[in-house]
Amino acid sequence: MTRSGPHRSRPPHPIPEIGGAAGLRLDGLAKQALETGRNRLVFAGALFALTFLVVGLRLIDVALFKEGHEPTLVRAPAAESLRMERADIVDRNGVVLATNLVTASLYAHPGKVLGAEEAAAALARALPELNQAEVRARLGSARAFVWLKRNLTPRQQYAVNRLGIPGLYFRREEKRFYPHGRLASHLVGFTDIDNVGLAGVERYFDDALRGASGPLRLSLDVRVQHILREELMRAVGEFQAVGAAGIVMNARTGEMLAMVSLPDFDPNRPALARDDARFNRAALGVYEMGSTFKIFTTAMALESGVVTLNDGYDATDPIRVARFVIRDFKPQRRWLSVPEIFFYSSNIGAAKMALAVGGAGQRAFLDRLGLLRAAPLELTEVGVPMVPSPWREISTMTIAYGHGLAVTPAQMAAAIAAVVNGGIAYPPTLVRHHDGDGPAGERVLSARTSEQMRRLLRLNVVKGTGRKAAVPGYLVGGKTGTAEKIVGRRYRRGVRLSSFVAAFPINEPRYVVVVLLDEPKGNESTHGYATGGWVAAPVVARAIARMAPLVGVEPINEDTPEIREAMLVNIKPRGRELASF
Amino acid sequence: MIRGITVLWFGLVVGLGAGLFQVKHEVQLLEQDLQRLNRAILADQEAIHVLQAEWTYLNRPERLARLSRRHLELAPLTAVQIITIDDLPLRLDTVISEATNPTAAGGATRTVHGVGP
Repeated sequence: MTRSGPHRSRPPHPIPEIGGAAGLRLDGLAKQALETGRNRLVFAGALFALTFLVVGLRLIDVALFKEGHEPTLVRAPAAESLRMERADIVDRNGVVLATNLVTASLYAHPGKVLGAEEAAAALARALPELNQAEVRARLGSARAFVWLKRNLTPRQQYAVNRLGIPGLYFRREEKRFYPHGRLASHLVGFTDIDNVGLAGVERYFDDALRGASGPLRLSLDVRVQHILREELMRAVGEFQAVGAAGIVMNARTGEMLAMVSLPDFDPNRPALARDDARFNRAALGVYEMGSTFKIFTTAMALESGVVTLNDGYDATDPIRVARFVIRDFKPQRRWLSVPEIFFYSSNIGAAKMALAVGGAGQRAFLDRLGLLRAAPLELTEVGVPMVPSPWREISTMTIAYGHGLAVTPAQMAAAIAAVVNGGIAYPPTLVRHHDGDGPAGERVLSARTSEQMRRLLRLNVVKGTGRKAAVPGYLVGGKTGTAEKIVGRRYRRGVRLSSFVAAFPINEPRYVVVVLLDEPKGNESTHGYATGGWVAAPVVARAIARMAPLVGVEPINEDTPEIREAMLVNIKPRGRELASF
Repeated sequence: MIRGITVLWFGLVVGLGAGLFQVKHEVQLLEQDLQRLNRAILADQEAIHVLQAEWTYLNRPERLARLSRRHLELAPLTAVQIITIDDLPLRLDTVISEATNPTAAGGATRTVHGVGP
């Protein structure tokens, strides 16, 4: 054993000498390791330096260049606002027509109910409308969830809680509620127990109502609706009518302020309603309107230029066409001028006027007024008019006085509005326009013809068949209509549809009122008559008298020279000038 | 010297920790408060919703008309009852002077709108 150094003893195993060939190789390896190590250190150091630099820069940025203080506005988690399953429906003034109320629905976990027999008996005592046997059967079932009763009132919920039966639970549910009940039942519609819209606006806007948080604002005015409904109900009772329909429409925008159909139903209990009561006569029912169509015939003839207010037709004899005879209700048996045809409501004169225009022209004109296609109302129940096909000459003649073409009262209202408002047709709507952004409307009549029609309508209320529709101060203009109804395949005498269409104030019409009574019977107060002038016109008069102050129509003095001048119609019977109104 | 600095730092750390804990605790309390308030707001909104429905139900035009007939002596407004501001005499003294001076009595006896046989 040799000692190589004084300090420590060598290990027993030989180690390679430094400097040898093997040593050189090792030296290279160590150097490489050192190199790698240093590189890694430098890299890590650089990384840290960079990070510190970023942090430092950010510090400077935050401290010097950003606002140095705490944010002044603390954003608290906002209180979530109340969201119901289904948005409210409100009228044009924000009065609630349909809303969701929170209710509790009772369900049971039958496995956890001890003593189904006693529980059923106790429940039947607390909720008398439950059937004890049925509850017993449900509580005995093997399922984990059975409904016992949906939509309990708070009082009922309390009663059930007081029983203290284990295994009964409540689920928070929402129930559609219509505070106004029958008032606008056809228009608003109703929903099923799961709040799916089944009729009316509820159905048309079903998806929108489910997604929206804000209420749906209809064009309806609850006050006007109430007035019209009350007056119609009174007339239905007085004249023993089987039904009635009424519409109040803004003549300048097409918005419906009221739409009534009688009989009606309670949308809170739609299951109890008869089919007849659910039927919307104002928008779904199509009727042959009778003489009110002479408004369109006259407007068409004046517009096309085939007649002027000074012209007229011979109405001495009834017209015989094929197997039909067209005769007048109150025959004058002489030549009649256009204003006379209008206010004596001469079928013969109207038929001749329509023939002078021709079938194609008549069809095009009625189509422009929207009378040949379904009204674009926001309802799923909208009646499609019954249009004759082919459109024969006899159709032209009968449609001239409102037979042979059946339309809905809603279409009628929109068409009348177009005739009186200066000649612009607005699509009828049930949704309130925001101020000034209604649809532009379409010109269907010249302003001059519209002005002449307003005079004729006023004349008819002052001197003609519509006298009972007059309301002092509100300058009503209108036209009566009495149509015989088709029963089976024939027109039946005495089974009538009596109507009145009006606009007020007629010098600058703001509202159109359409009233229709289905099968009214005359009584002593009407001397047995059940015509539009006797039964429907008074309804219009009373409704207008009550609603005009509410909707802000200013009364005017009808006797001022300006108004008389504006409403003047010269009636020139052939050869001599007799009267002017 | 070093001991002094260490003690200072130590005190600082403990103080900050305690302060932080205090602030955090207060924030927690405030958040609970906020949650409670939000729940209360929601409950109030629900109550308002129900009350609105009830208000509408009680204000049905048909019910108001019934109550008005029973308790008030009001009748529907007629056109005769509405006049414009132009229909009013301008000043009382002119009316009096016109009344005392019969030759100029034209303005004082204006008829109200719409009245007539």
